Amino acid sequence: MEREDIVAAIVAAAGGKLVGRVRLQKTAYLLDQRGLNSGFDYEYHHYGPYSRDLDNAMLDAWAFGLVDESFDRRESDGARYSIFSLQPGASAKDEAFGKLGRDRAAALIQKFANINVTVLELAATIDWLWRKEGYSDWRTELTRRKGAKVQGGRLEQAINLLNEIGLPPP
Amino acid sequence: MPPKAQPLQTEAAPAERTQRVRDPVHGLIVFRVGDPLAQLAWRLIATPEFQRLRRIKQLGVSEFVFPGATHSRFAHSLGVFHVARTLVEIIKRELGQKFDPTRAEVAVIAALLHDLGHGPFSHAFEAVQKTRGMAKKHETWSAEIIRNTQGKIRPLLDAYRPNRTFTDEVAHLIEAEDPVDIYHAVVSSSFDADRLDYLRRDRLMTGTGAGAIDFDWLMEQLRVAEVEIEPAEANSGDAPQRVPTFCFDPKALPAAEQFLLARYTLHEQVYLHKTTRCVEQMIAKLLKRAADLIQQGRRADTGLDANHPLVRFFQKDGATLANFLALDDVVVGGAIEQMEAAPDTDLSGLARRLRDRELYKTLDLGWFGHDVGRQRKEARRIDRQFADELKNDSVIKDEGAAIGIYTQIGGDDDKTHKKLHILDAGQPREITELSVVVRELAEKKRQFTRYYFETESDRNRARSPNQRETG
Repeated sequence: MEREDIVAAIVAAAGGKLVGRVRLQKTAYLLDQRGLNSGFDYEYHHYGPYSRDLDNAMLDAWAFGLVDESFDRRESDGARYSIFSLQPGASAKDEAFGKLGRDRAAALIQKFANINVTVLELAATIDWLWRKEGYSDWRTELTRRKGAKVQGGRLEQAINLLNEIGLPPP
Repeated sequence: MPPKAQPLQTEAAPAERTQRVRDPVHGLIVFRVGDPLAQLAWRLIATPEFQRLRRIKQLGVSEFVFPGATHSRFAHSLGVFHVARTLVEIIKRELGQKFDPTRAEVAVIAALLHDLGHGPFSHAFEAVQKTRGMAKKHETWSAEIIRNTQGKIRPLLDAYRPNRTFTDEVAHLIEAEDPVDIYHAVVSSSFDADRLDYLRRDRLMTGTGAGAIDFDWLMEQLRVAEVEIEPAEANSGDAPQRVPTFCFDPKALPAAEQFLLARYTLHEQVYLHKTTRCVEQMIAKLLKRAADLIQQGRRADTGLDANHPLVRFFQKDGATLANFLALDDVVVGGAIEQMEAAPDTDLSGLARRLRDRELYKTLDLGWFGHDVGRQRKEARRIDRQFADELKNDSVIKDEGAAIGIYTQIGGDDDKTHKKLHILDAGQPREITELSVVVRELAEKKRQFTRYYFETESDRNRARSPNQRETG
């Protein structure tokens, strides 16, 4: 199995289409915490945990004809975003889902595909803060880093998501 | 050269007078008597923490490729301060009565101090810390230096306002990830003071003819408008968060295109130059080796004295603020010289090669042609062919260099406040929607994969896979 197979598996499990680079990154991160074992390294970036390995895997997936990246625009300000689509003939390999297994992974991926992307960003960041950076008071640190994004009930939604997927924060 | 700095006097403030610095990019930068903010800036510049920036090159090891690019973060920071003052005047013009002079002061001082947290050979050093699991962004170091109760910066900032909140406001503005108001845009936005200085300074000092920007026209056409800060998708759901940031009048569209192209070109030709990246990888390898030896209690094998700043920093629990501040390019350059006599031959060999510019041999995948599919297949083949060498670092693979029209090193999505917006019928629209030129560059991120080989023969084998068999 190659790294691009993981990208193809995620996009396939999302229904053949996954919207947004942030969503792809956070999906992979949370899946890894649940046992995907992608082998990707993550570091902290603007939108929370980010993997350059996954970024390179995406380029491989495109170069080897597994996944295509197209673009659309947000209505309000014309901001461009990515749409990842499984190429005709490409499919998900079972081993790409790691210990998590195809069914459990697919259920999680579909959940992540249908949630507000900022909630997903917050959920991945909460997990990162306590698990990787060792913040016991992750709420304060999250608010300090994410500012207004935690407002409007999004913090609560992110915590609910983590509880639902078996990654409850301490 | 700046005029002679006044010695720092914490007990009694030095007498104020107008100070002037000649700058190759901006001309005269004046710190006027009677202007409290300018006088504060001058006192901050005189602190050891700020003076340290004279010993850190703005472009790290780019001088291996562009010999003129030896300018310092000190000069850059003065330039950023100068531009920040201009940007604040534009905000004042745009906001009128709503202008907040206290926030503007925070922004100008944050701009001056934003680079305090850069380490020696920034990118190489950060890469080493990352591999040691101790990554800390330079913005975080900057904020810590500003808040440091043992340092010389904090007393000056604390004394600037009676309520003593200035220090924290400045530090917070530097470390804030998302914009909170238009003053944040002075420090971090598509058109921030940092970018407006380094694009012009780096172009001048490297001598590259590419990457000119129409600075005066852009400044004249700068406006303030609100944009959504959430990652772009079809819609942002309920009540998307919006913050004010810089955008441009439609008359600036061609100049804005040039501005983004200038940035793209400088990344392509200067910052991500394959030889520069090669030297960074070699220095990172050397520092990592030294750090490993020190951690293993084999300090003597590094050739460094027990009290050397690098030894102090790399020892267990040594990554303290005080130890960090003792590091700069000069200290590390001296360490490399000492390491030439290191008993550890990996270290001494690398140190000698760096001194004599006997660099590793680079293979950019572009050598196999422009077809990305072919490049990626060749990369797979090289990965297999040199699996052992990649494991023991005698061959280094670098996949970290990538550019898009907004970002230089990848990232999830481009930060919304780092995207460039043009007013279209009075509303800010992302420039990729309005500009065909920018759209083309925005659609595909360019990624550079390079391999660095200790020997030329290994590189030749990588170029021609059959060479091993044919002898």
